[in-house]
Amino acid sequence: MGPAQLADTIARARAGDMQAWGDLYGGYAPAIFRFCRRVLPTREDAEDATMEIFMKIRQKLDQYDPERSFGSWLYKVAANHCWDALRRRHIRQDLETGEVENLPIEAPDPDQLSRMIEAHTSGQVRDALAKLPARARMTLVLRYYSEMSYEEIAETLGLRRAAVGVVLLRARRQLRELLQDMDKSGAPFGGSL
Amino acid sequence: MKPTDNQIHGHMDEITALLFLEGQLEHPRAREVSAHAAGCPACGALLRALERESRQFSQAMIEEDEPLPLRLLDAAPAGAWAREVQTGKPAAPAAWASWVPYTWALSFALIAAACYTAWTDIIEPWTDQLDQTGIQGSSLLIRLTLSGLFWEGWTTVLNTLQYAVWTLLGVGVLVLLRHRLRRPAGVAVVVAGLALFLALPTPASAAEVRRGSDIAVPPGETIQNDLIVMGARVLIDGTVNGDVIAFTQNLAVNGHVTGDVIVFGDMARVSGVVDGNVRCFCNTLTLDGTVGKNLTAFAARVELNPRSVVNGGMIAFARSVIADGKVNRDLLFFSADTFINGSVGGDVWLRGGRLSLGPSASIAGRFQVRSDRQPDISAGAKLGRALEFQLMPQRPNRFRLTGLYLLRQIVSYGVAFLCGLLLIKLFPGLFFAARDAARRVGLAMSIGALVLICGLALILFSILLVLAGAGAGFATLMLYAPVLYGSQVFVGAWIGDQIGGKQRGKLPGDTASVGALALGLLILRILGVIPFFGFFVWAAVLLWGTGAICMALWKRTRLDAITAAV
Repeated sequence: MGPAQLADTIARARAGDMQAWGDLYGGYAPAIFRFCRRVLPTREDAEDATMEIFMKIRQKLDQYDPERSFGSWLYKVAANHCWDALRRRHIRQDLETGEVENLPIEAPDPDQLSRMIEAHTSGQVRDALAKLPARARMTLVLRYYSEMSYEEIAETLGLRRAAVGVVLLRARRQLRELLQDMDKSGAPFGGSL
Repeated sequence: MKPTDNQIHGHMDEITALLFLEGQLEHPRAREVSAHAAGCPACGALLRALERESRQFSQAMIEEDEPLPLRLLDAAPAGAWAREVQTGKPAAPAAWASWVPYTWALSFALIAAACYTAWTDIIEPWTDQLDQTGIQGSSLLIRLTLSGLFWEGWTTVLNTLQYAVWTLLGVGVLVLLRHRLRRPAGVAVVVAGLALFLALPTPASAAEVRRGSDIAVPPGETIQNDLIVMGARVLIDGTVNGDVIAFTQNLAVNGHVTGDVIVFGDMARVSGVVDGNVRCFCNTLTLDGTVGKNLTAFAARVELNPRSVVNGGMIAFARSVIADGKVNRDLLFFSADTFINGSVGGDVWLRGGRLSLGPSASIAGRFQVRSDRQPDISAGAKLGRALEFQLMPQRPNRFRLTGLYLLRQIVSYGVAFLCGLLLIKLFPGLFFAARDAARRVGLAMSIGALVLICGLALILFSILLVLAGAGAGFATLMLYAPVLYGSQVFVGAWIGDQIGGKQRGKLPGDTASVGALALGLLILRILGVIPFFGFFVWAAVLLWGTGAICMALWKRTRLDAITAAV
């Protein structure tokens, strides 16, 4: 769907065109479901969240600013919803800080990092991602799936903007550690998240 | 912050490298980093490795490892749109869509068959028995509502309730079909029809209501109306020109009631005269006086003393009955222990345990007994016709693994499995939603308990409505039947899915689900036949599954709202 066509579809959906709303749902539901699947602990949670997000979107469609990217706006709604859902279920780690002092000081060996990248499939990365703490997982998904800016991530997660990079780096390191642990333990990869 | 080894050796640290890659450094700093990386192989390699890692993360997250769930895809009408968008082709009707009309036809045929069976096996024999007890009428409904088996005023109340149920059903249909009834005219017609139904009932006539711990109608007092009393003790020594409805621990009617007496309570004694019927829902009923029409009792103990007279027939559902008085028409007893020593002008039909006929007993009509033991008939008892006795064998132990029992279990398993298959094919969204909802065991069981408790009340309510309107009653009951039966399917599917979860990714979606369903139902069936324990298994399944269905239906309602026309 090109930008002009998308703008037209959104306008028609706002005006109550059912077909237009269906087009939006059909076009974006798979991506939003995948987003929720990456962020939330179970498939059922992701399904529920997808439904709820689209209900919110339908209610808030009038608030959408056409000057902004529709996809970004959609992910923002989805991220807020999922983050709230995690908070309600007390599985957010709010004690994490974005202080650089808390980071391990060693930088990774580039060769070792490259070998690790080559050694792991996407499925294995997803498996490891699913095992991350909620905040780390959320940060990685917001950045590398939704491609949100640091400002948007900070706003969504309630962080200072300056802390986002640190939180992101810590999340990447945790992910690497998990991948290494899974290598050592010989845990099977490739299962569903 | 302490300097890192990299900083000591002049290399950039990881956070700097990451922020540089992410475009988060100020321009001067970014230029410095860029210049450094150009001349430093180690830092250049670090940047390249981090960039590759970022791409790997993005790739892993974006990759479509699982399709949009059917539950989301099948949400009509969004499902069709979603498919169109994904495939770029107009959505073709699913292969199974052509089955739907036949499935509906089959369902209606099965319901019709069930109704016919219920009528011929249950209701018709009952009407025959009621005929024998002297309660005449052209149909069961007329018999039960108009012939005075219940208080006449109930007719109006029941009509009102019937309209209320129709209205509720209508609202339910409106909710379910709200996306199809988009035309305002259609909605208007339905709403107008409901309003018309609501407008039809006539208001019930007013009655005198008395409350208190001790309520008395003293001798000489006459109440020219129906009397509704609620209190610990109720004593009627005067006259009531109408019906008496009592909710009390202890009712004594020594005076005169020209209408019916309906009592809900602990003990009731009628020593006076009741021109109408006596309907008793209590622990003990004692009759010393006269009942002008019929006597119906749901009680632990019913006693008709020698002076008592019932001019019509008598029906009793009781643990023990002593009938030492006079009943001018038929007797119909369901009783564990019965002693008849009075006279009966019509037939006697008894089903239950021990029966004794005293020396003063006299039965003018037929004497039919179905029991697990021979009746004890005194030599002095007078029987108009020979005893028609049918021995009812003791019920076989259901836990004994006889061939027939096993066959029944296998058939039950097969039927439940077929139901599950049909659900997967016809309503995959609902099936998977209910199965997934079952994972919240505690919540599902709580909701199930709530629904079933409300449902029990509704079933009783419906039974009442059957008396007033079979259509409304059956329709209400029919709403529950599939939910109750389906509970085992969803719980079984969930259990099977949990056990066979490892296979989920290796098999095509439907095959894995069908296998899980078969396995889960088998486990339930095996657990269910364990003596004693099995009862609790099925009870838990009923609560659990019912709750899961309700949760799934609720979620689907919300899903529909997403795609509804704005």
